[in-house]
Amino acid sequence: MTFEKIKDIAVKLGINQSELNSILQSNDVILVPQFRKNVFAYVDTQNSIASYLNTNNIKVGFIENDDVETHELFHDWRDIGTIVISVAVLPLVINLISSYTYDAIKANKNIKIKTTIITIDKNNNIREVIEDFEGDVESFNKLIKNIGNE
Amino acid sequence: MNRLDNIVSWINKLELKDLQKPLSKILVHKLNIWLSRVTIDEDLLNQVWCIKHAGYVKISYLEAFSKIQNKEYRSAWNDLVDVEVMSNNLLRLMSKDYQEKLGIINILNISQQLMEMIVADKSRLIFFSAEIKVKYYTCSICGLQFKRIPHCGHFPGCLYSGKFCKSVAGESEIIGASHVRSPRRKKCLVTEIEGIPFNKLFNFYHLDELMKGLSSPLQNWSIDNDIIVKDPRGDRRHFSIQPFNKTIYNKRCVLKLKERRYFENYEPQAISTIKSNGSLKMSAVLFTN
Repeated sequence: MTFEKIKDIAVKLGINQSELNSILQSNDVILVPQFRKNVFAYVDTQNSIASYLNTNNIKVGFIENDDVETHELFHDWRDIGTIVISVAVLPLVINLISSYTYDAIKANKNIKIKTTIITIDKNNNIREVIEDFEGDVESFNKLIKNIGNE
Repeated sequence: MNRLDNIVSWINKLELKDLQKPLSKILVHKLNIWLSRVTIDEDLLNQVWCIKHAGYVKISYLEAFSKIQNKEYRSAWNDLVDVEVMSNNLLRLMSKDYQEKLGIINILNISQQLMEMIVADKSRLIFFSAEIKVKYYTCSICGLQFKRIPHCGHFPGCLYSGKFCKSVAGESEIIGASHVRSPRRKKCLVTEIEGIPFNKLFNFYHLDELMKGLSSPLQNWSIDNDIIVKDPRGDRRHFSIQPFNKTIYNKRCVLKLKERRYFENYEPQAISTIKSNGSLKMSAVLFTN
């Protein structure tokens, strides 16, 4: 998902450019809702990772209005959706996501991850670092460790 | 040895024959007596929660084992799922010392192996899992309502003064249901397909043979992975059913399942060996297409 698509989602939810910028600048991590079953919704795994990051003092924001729903998934994928991470906290968030997925794999070795990761700096420069990843935890952790080392 | 170690030792000594007693009640009673004699603090209450649930893990495992012996495989599956969920929580929350004393990892491993054996024929392993729309959640500790992140300072999956925090789903609605290989809730295993009951859906010959060979419920054993025949047809398939309707489900899913050749006549092709780390060896019939 490109950043233009995130802007589109914001517009569809009635969030204008300045409100979106404010959400982006005032949070360390932004989770983007998904279009499922004809509505915008966050899935339970997105809420779960948001809680996990929040526990570890990362400020998490959501692009939403009152109509955005929450869906509890039927399958055991860890669907994190699109996640926008501020460059300032990138290494820390990468470590936290890695330990979150490590905890998940302890409960079920066959767990799959689905996500897109975008970074944003203080000048609103956007970079898509992981695009539409869908795979096992081991490959995902290898990928995100490379991002952390860059 | 302090009194809490006595309770740990009591849990470790539990055997199949003890299942006739109300073990959960006895365990809670023992822990309450112990708590009435000590100065209570948050860490202690959390420790007691962990030991109580380690006791439940052992009791659920013994119940599952006993049910498999009595050929109540479906009910045993539910108990093993409980063991898996509780053990995973304990591995996060319990001190390493008590994890080792109570053998949590060992019980979890053996439970997962038994689950593998119950549904050894993976081609027929299908879960029917619901997708749910939730309007809000409530914190199980303080009752605060929230939509995404709890702002009360309690986080789901953590212990607070001996209470396990959960986000309890408020107003909810089923918006769909699907067949999956890897479900969110493992208890939703499909137990009957086209009138074939659970006990005939899977082949339990090898599991029954294993049960005959084990001298105790916690005896270690392993499956020879070289001999197990893997399902070559991918790891996940699901059929969305929208809207959720039992009649439509029955018609559509059975058709889909037929298309996917789930109902082929499976013939035993290999005589295999299940190894234990002791002297146990036995033959088992494995099924493949």
